[in-house]
Amino acid sequence: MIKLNELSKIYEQKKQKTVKAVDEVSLDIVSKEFVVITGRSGSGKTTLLNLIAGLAEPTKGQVFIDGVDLWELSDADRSALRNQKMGFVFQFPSLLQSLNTVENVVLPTIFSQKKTTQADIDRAMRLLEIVGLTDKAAAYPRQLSAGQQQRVVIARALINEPELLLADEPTSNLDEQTAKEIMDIFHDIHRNKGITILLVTHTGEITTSGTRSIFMANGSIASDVSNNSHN
Amino acid sequence: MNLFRLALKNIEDNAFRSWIVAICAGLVVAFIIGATLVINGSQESMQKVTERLGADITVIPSGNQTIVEQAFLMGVPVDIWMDRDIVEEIAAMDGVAIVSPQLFLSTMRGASCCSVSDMFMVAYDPATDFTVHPWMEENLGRELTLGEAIGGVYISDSEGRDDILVYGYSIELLGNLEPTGSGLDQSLFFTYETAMDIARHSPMQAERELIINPNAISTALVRLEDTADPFLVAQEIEASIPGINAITSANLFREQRERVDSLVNSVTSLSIIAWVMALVLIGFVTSTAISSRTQEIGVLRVLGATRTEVIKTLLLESSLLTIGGSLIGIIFAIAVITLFRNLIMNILEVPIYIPNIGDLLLLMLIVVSLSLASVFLATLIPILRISNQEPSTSIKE
Repeated sequence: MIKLNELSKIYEQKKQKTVKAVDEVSLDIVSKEFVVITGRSGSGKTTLLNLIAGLAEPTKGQVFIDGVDLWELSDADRSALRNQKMGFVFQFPSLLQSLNTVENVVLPTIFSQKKTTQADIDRAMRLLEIVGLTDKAAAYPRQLSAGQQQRVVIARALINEPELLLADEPTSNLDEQTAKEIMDIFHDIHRNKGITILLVTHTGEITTSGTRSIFMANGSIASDVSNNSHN
Repeated sequence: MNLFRLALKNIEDNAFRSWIVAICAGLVVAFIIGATLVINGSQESMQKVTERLGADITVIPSGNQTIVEQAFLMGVPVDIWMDRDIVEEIAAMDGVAIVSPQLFLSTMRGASCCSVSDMFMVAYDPATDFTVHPWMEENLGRELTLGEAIGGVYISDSEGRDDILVYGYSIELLGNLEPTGSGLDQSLFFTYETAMDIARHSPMQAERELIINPNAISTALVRLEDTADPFLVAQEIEASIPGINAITSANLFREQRERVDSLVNSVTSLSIIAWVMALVLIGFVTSTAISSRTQEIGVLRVLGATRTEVIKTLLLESSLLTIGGSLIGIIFAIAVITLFRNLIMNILEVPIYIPNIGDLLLLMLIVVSLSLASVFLATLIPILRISNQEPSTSIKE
């Protein structure tokens, strides 16, 4: 499903200094894998996730999603691919403060079909049921706890029924109990919907919770291990 | 949910930015609409009076230019007389096509008979008239006869009657001239014959007798041949006939035109200053507001919004705020002009012609379009800057 070919991302800094955030990474991820990417701060794991999602342009190399080179596409086509095939869960609270829960969940649909339909709202309500927030459909983000907001973000990530779910430190701002609940939701989604998941984390316990664990160091893949017990 | 609703929600959620943009747009639009209505209305009024009179040269008793202009423009009562014989003298001059005398009658203050309490009454000579003749030809197909009149737009029959009482004399109102926004709108036009008949009956019918010297006129309106130079003919008239002023149409209302021109200069300078200040303020506020929403915009990009959709959403927000603010500004300007029209007219000593609804809508459309274009200009740079950023950079901020 995902193929990275000698992918590099170099950031230029002041005084002509450069930082190699991702250094010639080649990687294949097949459909329905649950890949957990770990590494220390600055190891390049978030940059790698951004490159896979087409959120940052690689300095070198290629990103293929289902055989399509992301950077051969126009901005509109790349945005459409992101909208249709990918769901995102961020570390930070990424809900729009001006929209209520259900409006936030259906938000991605306005970019693919210009207008939200009743079917989208019904689907949003079903997703809110999965994440246990049916009673908060009309609530605004400021009325929700951090854990509840993250559940809404997960529901939003699933609204267009993506094939790939990308999560960047989704539990880092949550307490232990809430983090466990969120991870349980990811596992349920992976098990029940068969979605490919790429999850970036620095939390030790999560490292081995996927079907595959990748450890990054200095922008490169230091280890890549399959966790057979989850297969 | 769609982009429009998303823009509305964002407007609601960014109250400070929204109010600043709307207020700036509203104030600039109100100022420009108000100033344009006053300036254009004044110029239009003077132009319409000049066209209504139809004269290339207006001859009046010497030293009375200001009060005659005030009579035409503001309907201020005027009592001026000169010898009727000058009509023949002027008519005999080179370049003169026709001369038509008019007689201004004392206005009746507090006339209870009419919808306008202070009427400016003008008696004209139907044989030579070119002031109201075109209207009658088009609308009546005949000249006025004894006891008939036509009025300015504000002249109407008193309630329950189909005539107007002037010095106790019953006059039938046959129609109303188009509005000029000037004193002519409260004028009543009838023939010399009717004027003399009113005077003849006034001792028996009126509280005050109307006395008309049959050999007196108030003004002689001169129309020239196409080849004649109005300034030369006016000079010749003044040189040949003592005690009169011959005012060319270009010099009629000169003082008032100069006053309006000076107002135009001030208003133009103020408009430019207000416009530039509004642009800077809107640009700054939008830039600040957009910077604080960088992460939100990054999220939209991550969720699948194209660069164009981000630009469209942000410009839509600015447009909605501008249109909303402009509409409030327009209502405010029109309310101020309507409520304080008389005060403004008295200060400027120039009437203000209110344009018809079509012209008013066109003016609004132009000003709102300019306002939209200005806000686009002020907001486009921060919007383009943010939309061109890589989504991964935006979501980090």
